[in-house]
Amino acid sequence: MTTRPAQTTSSSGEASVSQIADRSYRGYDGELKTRAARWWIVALATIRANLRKPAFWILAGLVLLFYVINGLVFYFTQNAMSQMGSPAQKNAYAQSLYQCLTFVGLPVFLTALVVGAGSIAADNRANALLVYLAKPITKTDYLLGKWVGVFTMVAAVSFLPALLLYLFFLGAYWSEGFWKENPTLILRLLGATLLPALLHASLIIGFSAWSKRPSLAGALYAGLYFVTLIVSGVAGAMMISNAPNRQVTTRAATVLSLSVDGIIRGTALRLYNAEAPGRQFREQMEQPEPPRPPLLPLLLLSGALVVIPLAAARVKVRAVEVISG
Amino acid sequence: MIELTRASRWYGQVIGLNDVSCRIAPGLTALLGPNGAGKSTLLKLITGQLRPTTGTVQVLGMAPFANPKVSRALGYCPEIDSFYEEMTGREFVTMLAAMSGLRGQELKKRVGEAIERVGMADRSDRKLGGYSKGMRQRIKVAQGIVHDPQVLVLDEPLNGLDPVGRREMSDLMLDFANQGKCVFVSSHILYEVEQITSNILLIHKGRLLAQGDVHGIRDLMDRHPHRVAITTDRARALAAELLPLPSVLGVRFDAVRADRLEVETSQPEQFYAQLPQIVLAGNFAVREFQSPDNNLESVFRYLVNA
Repeated sequence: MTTRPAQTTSSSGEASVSQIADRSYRGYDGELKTRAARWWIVALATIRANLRKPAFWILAGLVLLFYVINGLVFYFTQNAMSQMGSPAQKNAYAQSLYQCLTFVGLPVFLTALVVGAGSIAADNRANALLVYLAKPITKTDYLLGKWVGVFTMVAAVSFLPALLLYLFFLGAYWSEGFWKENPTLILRLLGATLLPALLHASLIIGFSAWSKRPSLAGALYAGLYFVTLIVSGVAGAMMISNAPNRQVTTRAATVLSLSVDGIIRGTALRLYNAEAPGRQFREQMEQPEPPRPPLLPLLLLSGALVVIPLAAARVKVRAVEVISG
Repeated sequence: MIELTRASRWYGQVIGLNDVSCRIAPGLTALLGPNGAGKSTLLKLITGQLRPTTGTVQVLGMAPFANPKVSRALGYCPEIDSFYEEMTGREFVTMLAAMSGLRGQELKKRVGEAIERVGMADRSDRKLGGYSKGMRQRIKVAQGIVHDPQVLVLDEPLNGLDPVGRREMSDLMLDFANQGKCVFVSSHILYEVEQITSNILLIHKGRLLAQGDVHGIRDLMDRHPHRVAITTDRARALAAELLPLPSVLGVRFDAVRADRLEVETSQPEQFYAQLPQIVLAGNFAVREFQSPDNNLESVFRYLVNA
């Protein structure tokens, strides 16, 4: 495998370099010090692998398109309203950002499936953990690296288009007092768009760690996502229909939020201080604005949905499958 | 460099490795055993991926389980070879080299050299998904040697390689061993193993059956007398001379070749010392002389079937 270069000597007795390249192998006596953020190597590999997936780019493009269309609609609506002399809609910028977030909920969720389903499941299937965990990294490093990789990809799809729309608002409506009226909007945007990434990344990593097939991990998470959405929707609807005057109570609003998608929407509704969809319908039906779900239970539930899957994944991540019985 | 003291590993009710004590010194040592013998368990204990249920495992004087100090000085090439199919060979080796502690320009340089050394320089920028079994084997070895480890653990490194590849891989292992490093190779290609080392560690059903030089182990196996085949001009006359020797247990004649006899001896060294005198005294023309069961395959068969 190596070619030792022939040592040639010229007629003058001086050693000259062989025409055959020196491909001899040398021992390494330098320092071997793994960087402090050892998980970053795993995260970087996860990000690089996912950047090559066409499905990721299609979904990212779709989310961006939603935001661009919403920005254009907002721009033309505002122009038309100002020409007609109509008063500006209250909290219009945050409302627009909230609408976008509800529109892109599904593509962001699908991005998490594309990026995260195979993150650990593929390694389990290939027994690749045998190699990784024989390197000077711990299983916490490995798990953290995978989580950061998936979170970064989902967060990029969820946050960056929203940031783009925010910057558009900032540039286009600066003179109309956008910054003065909305000094904390960027922070609220950050919270509302990073929460989906946080939840999706943690949950999909949990399912992926317990599976040997990416498709199975994806299917299980999709099952959880849609089943909780349907069950909470049906339970919330029953509570509303049983309430006097079919009013949406705080409790019903909370039950409606008891799903992954519900937590994301409910928290965003709170953070953006936005209005629930269906205002025109409510105005026609002369119904009051429904209450927003309380933030604390949503945050507690979010915390549980982050911690439990990651703890479960940590139990499962190991170099070898242990036979029992 | 590697020391196991009464190490056992249980998987629930199943025992993977049973009370194994051994010391593996620098140089090339082959780990042999049939399927399910506990080879992989032993390798995982050494590479720190499993903790012994009882007993101790020491690598370079340290317990290897979840110990980055040991992992840094250890190169491991597992038997499995399906990794990130979308990654190129170079990217794969680079990622694992970075995990091992190499950085910057040195990382790139070492990756290039390791890939060159396993003969993959012209194919390292292709995706792993398109690699043949032999190419995967080489790239796995590249990630194992890239950080120049003190201990190199290779699980079936010769599988899938063509004869030239096997020769190259054997040379690489010997080269490492000659540098004073510890190379521990699990293999069931006994013929290939025999070409590169006579130092073996044989396990079966989780227990250590034998360790050391294969010929030394063979000499200790009293239940299986050594067989020595001799081809000579007067086979029956030579047999008559050999039978009275106390070291000779019996003589058999070849049914097909009348000039060939097979001697069974329990004390081969004594027999080999006496044989030349008898041959010279009787003026026998010895045309061929061999010991058909003084090899790794016989030792393996005798011990495993015992």
